Formats: sequence, C-alpha cells, structure tokens
Amino acid sequence: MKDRMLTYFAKRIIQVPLIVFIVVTMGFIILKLAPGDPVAHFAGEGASPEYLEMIRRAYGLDKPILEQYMTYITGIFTGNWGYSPSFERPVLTVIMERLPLTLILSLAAFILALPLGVLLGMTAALKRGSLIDSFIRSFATFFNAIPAFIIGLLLLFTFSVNMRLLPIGGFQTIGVTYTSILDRVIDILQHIILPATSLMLIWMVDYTRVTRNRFIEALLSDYTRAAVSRGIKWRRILFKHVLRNSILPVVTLAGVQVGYMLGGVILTETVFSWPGIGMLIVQAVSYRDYPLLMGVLFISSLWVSITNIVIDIIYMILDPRVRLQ
Amino acid sequence: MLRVEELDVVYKTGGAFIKAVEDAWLRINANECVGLIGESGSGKSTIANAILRVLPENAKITRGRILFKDRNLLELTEEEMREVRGKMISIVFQEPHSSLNPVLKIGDQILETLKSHQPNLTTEEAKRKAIELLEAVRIPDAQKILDRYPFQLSGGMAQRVAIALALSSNPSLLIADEPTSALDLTIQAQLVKLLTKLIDTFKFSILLITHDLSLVTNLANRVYVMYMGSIVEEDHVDNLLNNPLHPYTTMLINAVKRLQGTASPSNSIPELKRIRGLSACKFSPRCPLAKPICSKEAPPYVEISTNKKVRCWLYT
Amino acid sequence: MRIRLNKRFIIQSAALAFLFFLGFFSSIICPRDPLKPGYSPGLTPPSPTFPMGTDQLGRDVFSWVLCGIRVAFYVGVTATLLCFAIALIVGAIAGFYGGIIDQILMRLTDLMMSIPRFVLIVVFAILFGSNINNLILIIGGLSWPRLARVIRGEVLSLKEREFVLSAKVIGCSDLDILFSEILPNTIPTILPLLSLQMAHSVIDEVGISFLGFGDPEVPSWGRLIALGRAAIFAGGWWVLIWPCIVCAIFLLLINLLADTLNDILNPRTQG
Repeated sequence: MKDRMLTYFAKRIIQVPLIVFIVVTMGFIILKLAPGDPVAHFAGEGASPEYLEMIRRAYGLDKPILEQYMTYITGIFTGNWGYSPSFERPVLTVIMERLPLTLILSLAAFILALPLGVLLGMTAALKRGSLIDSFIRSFATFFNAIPAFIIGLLLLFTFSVNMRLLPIGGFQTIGVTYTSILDRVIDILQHIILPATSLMLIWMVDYTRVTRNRFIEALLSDYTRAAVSRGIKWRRILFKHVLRNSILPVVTLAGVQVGYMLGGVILTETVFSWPGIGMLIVQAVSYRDYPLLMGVLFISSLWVSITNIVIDIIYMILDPRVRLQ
Repeated sequence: MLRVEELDVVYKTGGAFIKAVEDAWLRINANECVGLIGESGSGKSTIANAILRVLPENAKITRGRILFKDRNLLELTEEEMREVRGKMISIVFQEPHSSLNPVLKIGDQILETLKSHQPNLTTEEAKRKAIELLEAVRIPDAQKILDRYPFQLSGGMAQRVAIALALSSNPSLLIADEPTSALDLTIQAQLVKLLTKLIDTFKFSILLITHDLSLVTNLANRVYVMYMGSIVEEDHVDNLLNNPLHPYTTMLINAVKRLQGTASPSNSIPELKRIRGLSACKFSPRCPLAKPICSKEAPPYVEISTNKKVRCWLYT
Repeated sequence: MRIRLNKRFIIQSAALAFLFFLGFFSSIICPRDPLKPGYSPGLTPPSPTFPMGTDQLGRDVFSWVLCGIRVAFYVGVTATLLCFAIALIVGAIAGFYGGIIDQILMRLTDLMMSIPRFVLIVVFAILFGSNINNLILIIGGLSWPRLARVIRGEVLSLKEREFVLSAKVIGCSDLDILFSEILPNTIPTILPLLSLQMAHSVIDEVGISFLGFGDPEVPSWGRLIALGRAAIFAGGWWVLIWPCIVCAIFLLLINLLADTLNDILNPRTQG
C-alpha cells in the first residue's frame, strides 16, 4: 500500500517538469507568433535600424528560432533565465527580488482567511436559520461577488486618502531610516494591512460557504446522531466527528487558492503599488519584456504544479478513503 | 424498566405539522426481548429516537413520559441524558455504514465510546476491552480490525461493530432499529444468532424494531404492532401469531402466511389512503370490519388481559 | 423542468433586466459622449448638470457609468457564450467517449489550469490587441477549462444512468442521446455556473481595463476606475466611487441570481 502511494507521487513529481516544459514551450511559441516586434517596442520610436539590429544581436534574437529555443530551455534548467531589458538585470534576479514580497502579502492574507472563513462557516452552520446565519451568508455573498481590487480601492480611499490613517501604497516608506527593527516592522505592517485585508476578505468567504454546507451535512448525518446516541460529549463530536468530515473540501479549496496566488494578486498589488510579482507582470507586459514574461510564466506554472502535489499529499493524509483505494 | 406513556411526537416539514407518533404506550422489562413491528413510516424509528432523545431538529415530543427505571427521561438535562445514552440505553441503527464515522478508524471509535463513559480507562485497558467486544460479536482478526476504516468492512461486519459499540458500556436496554433490513438474508440469520448469544452473555433487554415478522418470531417474547403512529396491539408473540385481535395485525400475519403458503383465503391489505386530522381510527379506511364509529372516534387502548392490549372498537 | 416562480428570482431578474435595458438604451439615454473630454474644465464635483461629476479631463462620469453597463453586458454575455461553447464541446466529448480522447482533453484542460488565468489574459491582451472583441475572445477562450471539467463530470455520471442505457437500447444515435437525454439534465448544475462565469468575465475585463490594457475606444468601468484611483488624491472621489458602486451592484445582482437559480434548480433537502 505504501509503495502504491509512492509510485503515485513519483508519477506526479515527474509530471511537473513535463508540464512546466510544455507551458514554457507554448509560451515561447506564442510570444514568437504574436504580432508586433518587441525589440522595436522596447527601443522606442525613431530608433534606427542599426540600433534595433544591435539589440537583436545582444539578445540572441538574430539566431535561428530553434537555436533560441534550445538556448532558452537549457538556460532555464541551469539558472539562466535570460536578461530583462526593462530592468536591466537578469530575469532570475528580478523575479527573486519580487517573489518574497508577493508571498508575504499572500501569506498574511491566507493565514487569516482560512481560519476565519472556516470559523464563520461553522458558526453559520451551528446557528443555521438564525439572524447570525443570514448575516454571515449575506456577508459571504457580498465578498464573493466583488473583486478584490475594488475592495482594495475602497479601503484605500477610506483609510488612506480620507482618514489618512494608513499609507497609500508601497512596501515601506521611502527614504526613512529606522531607529529599530520594531519600527521597520510596524512600518511594513502599516503598509501591508490594507492590501492583505482586501485579499483576506475575498478569500475568506470561499471557505465560509464550503464549510457551512459541509458542516450542516455532517451535523445532520447519521454518524453524528449515532455518536450522540453513544453518549459522547457534544464538544468532542463537533470537533472530532463533524469538523473532521467537513475539512476536506476546505483543503482542496486552499490548494486552489494558493495555486492561483501568484496571478490573483496582480490587481491588488497594482492598486497598492505593492512591488511584488503582480506588479512585475504588469510592468513586463507594458514594456514587452519578453524574457521577463517567460520567466514569470515559468515560475507561475511551477508554483501551481507544486502546490497541487502538496495538496494531494495533505488530502491523502486526511482522507483514508483516498489512501486505501 | 422502560415505560413509554402517552407519547406524542410531532414533525414539522415544509410548514405542515405531522403527528408521527400518537398516544404510544410501551413497556420493556429487564431481560426481555420486545418487538415493535409496523410498515415503513409507521413511526417505529421515531419512538426509538425519542427514547434516547436523538430526534432530528424538526421533531418535538409534545406529550407523554418516558420512564426509565422510574426516571422521566424527558425531564433530564442534556448532561444527564448523556449519562443515559450508551451507558444505560443504546441504539443500533439500520444502515451500518452510515452510523460509523467514515474517516476514523474502528479502534478509535470504540475507544472513544469506552472512554466517554469510563474516563479513567487507560488506552491499553480500553484496547483490550475493544478486542473483547469485537470478539464477542464474532469479528475475526479483532486486532487488525481496530486499525481499519468502516469502508473497508462489509455491511454485516460493520453492523457487528455497531452492535459492539452499542454494548461497549453495558447498557440495560439495546434498541435495535431495523438492524438487519440493510443486509442480505444470510447475514440476517447470522445476526439473529449473534443477538441471541449476546443477550445471554451481556444480559440486556432488546427493543427490536422491524417490519420483518420473522425476525420478531425468532427473537422476541412480546410484540407491539404499530400502524401510522399508533400502537394498535400488544401481545405475546405466539399468541399474536395464532390469535391476532386487531384487523391490521390479522392482515399482516395473513400476508406473511401467504408468502409461506399457509394463509387463509381473505383479501389482501387494501391500498393506503391518507386521512388528515380526523380523530378517528387511522386504520378504518382500509379496515374490512369497520363500523360507523370507527370513522368518527379514535378507539382507546384497552387491556384485554395481562400483556395483551388492543386499540380497536371491536373489543371495547 | 419547471422553474418555480420564486419571489427572489422575480425581484432579482427584474433588477437585472432593468440594468439590461439601461444598458441597451444607453446610447439613447446617455446625455453625453462618455469618452469625449472637455465638457467641463476639469475635475468637477457632482451637480445637477453632472449628476456624477466629471473626471480630470472633463468627461461626464454619469455617461461613462451608464454606457459601461452596456459594455459589461456585452462582454459578460458573449464571453460566457464562447466559453460555454468550447467547454461544452470539450466536456461532452471527453465525458461521453472517454478513453484516449478523454485523456488527451483532460491533459489539455489540466495544462491550461496550471497557469493563472489572469496572467494569461493580460499577456494575450497585449500581444494580440486589446480591442473589445479580441478581449472577449481571449476571456472566453481561456475560461473554459473549469466549466469543461464540470460538464465532463456531469456527462460521465449521467452516462451510466438507466434512461441513457434505455435510449441506447432503443437505438438512438450517440448525438441524439447526448443532446436530448444527457445535456438537458446537466442544466441545473450548469446554469448557475454560467451566470457566475458572466460575473467573472466582466471582472476580467474591468481588471484589464483598469490596468490600462483594455480597449481605449470603449467606455469600460475599469478604465474609469483607474482614472478614479488617480483622482481621489486630488479630491475627486466621484470618479472612483460611482463606477465602483454601480459595478458592485451589477456583480452582486448576477451572483445573487446565480444563487437563486441554484436554489431553484438544485433544491437542498435540508438546511
């Protein structure tokens, strides 16, 4: 049984480079096929043909396509992800600079969203039919409908512009020297709170809905009734039986959310000028910075694939039925 | 030991109120096996759930007393009720797999039940007791089963586990709600044998709820017949089979005898037509012996002799 | 299949229909050309002449918001139809025929789902041109995987049901079975998802326009909101708030309708 699990995961792990490979290849093809000349776009108007040719040579774009492709592919696996013309630094460096910031933001939102969402769902389920339940459900419907960036904009407007309580964007205040680490942390916190809240509100309600439904199902199920009939304490039934059976779709949902983290934050990062991968994508697209785009594509698909595998592992641990079939 | 008196249970579905149980009277003594037979929807399970107060949320007990060893269970607090459940009265449900938590190991579930009523039990002691229980219900390889999950067990095995769970804290009364209806006939027979043996070993009473007359004849001493929420007859098993009083009981037994080829030539049970809210004998629309009074007034539940009661205008 | 005339359903559909007509007749009702600057010297607050004020270039916010309704409906409906068409073909074929076709199609679906969709949409928008119809093609063309999965799942489970088997026994052709037996029974699950997809498509377009990659000739709410973001620092709250409110109402209505549809078509036994 154990080695069946191992072979399953071995297969999945092998698939990752394959998927990423295909994605990168497709990206390469699409970028090549797309109309417009990135070099011309980058060089700006009025650039002389010699200048353009120079740039082309510098980026190896004058070589035959297949050669470009091979160079790129081998480069990806050796850490050379190309050179970003708009940032004038290697793509890998740029991405690695920005990635942690997105992760910090997303993680901050996620860590609050999941438990709060589940808690709200549980409360709504336990008090179903009551006013609290209706309130929670309306709350969930509202934040499910409105995109994160609009929430972010409204928050920004209220707290930063109107009330001047919080900074209007960025990661930390520019040009300030910190007297202590605490000051720095507080500064960052002030900057992160609004974007993280917008993301959290949107993510949270996904869990609320799912948890509420599954929880109600579990509450009304036969095994819960049977457990009560055996005289087991209600508290224990709630957590050991009902919650345990409701948690699985939450895990799947968490996986989906984490997987789409890199792409889902683009708009929010833009609203708050948060210098993460999201803003990076926007910049890359604006400048037709193809190498950077390819790099982003690569890391996005890598992230999604790895997340999916991790979620599968967690799911297997939690659901014996999957494990032993 | 257990006395149900004047019990009414009302369900609320989609705005309408339905009386699932009306004026129910039951009595179960120590070391007795009592059957409760009736068609689906007659309210048998409702009575079972009412006794342990595990009715669904939309059901309410609107009248009556449930006296267990002279304590009215309906007056107990939830905490006191918790003491009763599992330890003094237990229930085994119809669907073996749905009464077990699918994501917990069998062993964990048994241990949990044991420790709820005996918190001072150590894990090793509890484990030993669990294995004892599983062996008592004739489950082979008890040690291995502890680590299995419910979906890995067959229906029959799962039901045995359910029975083991129900008996784990030595209750005085076991309510078996259609314990064999979801299982094959061969398993049914095995389970009947098992239950008989268990009664000998553990010395408890059983309230056997079923629609299967043969099950009752094999296990029970006395029997209650239920129709559409009301108890219509009560008697010793042999008496009932040979000498049914209520027209419904007669038809029921006749129907079974017909299957066995020993029936008397009379008509089959006619089609069910629902009557709403009339305070009349509920069986009158289908009763071949109905009199005018039957559709006007509900007959009282009267005692004919010891342990023999009937609810019918024919005998009042 | 009867849609019970539910009070909620009527109210919500009526509200949405009202918005739809506003959008439909927007070119007639619209007091001014939304994209034409210069109706006022610059940022002016709401007043009787400009019920929602004007933006930094003197464009009438009210007209923009109003005409934006039509854009939203246009994008929402057409992108969803496109998405549905593709998802239907892929999902139905994969589910019905199974085997190698199913494997290939599902691998393709998985592949598409392994890249964050919005990233792709933005990239494609830039690469292939951002006029509104292109955007619709891109959004519809990249949103089908999830729906296709659901359709496939439904077809798979319905395929084994008895009424399908009996149709086969009678001798109905595969296509017949698919269209008259299986697909109609997927409607209860699919319909709410389609409404949600409409909301998502609108959100995608608003997002793209907000980032500046949308169609410059079209009065999309996204672009106005982007202007609003700049305007709030100069005190021009109306440029941001009005489109946000109307957009939010629009999206809320669609979501509520999707929920109501779901409740009607897939009634839960308890809860």
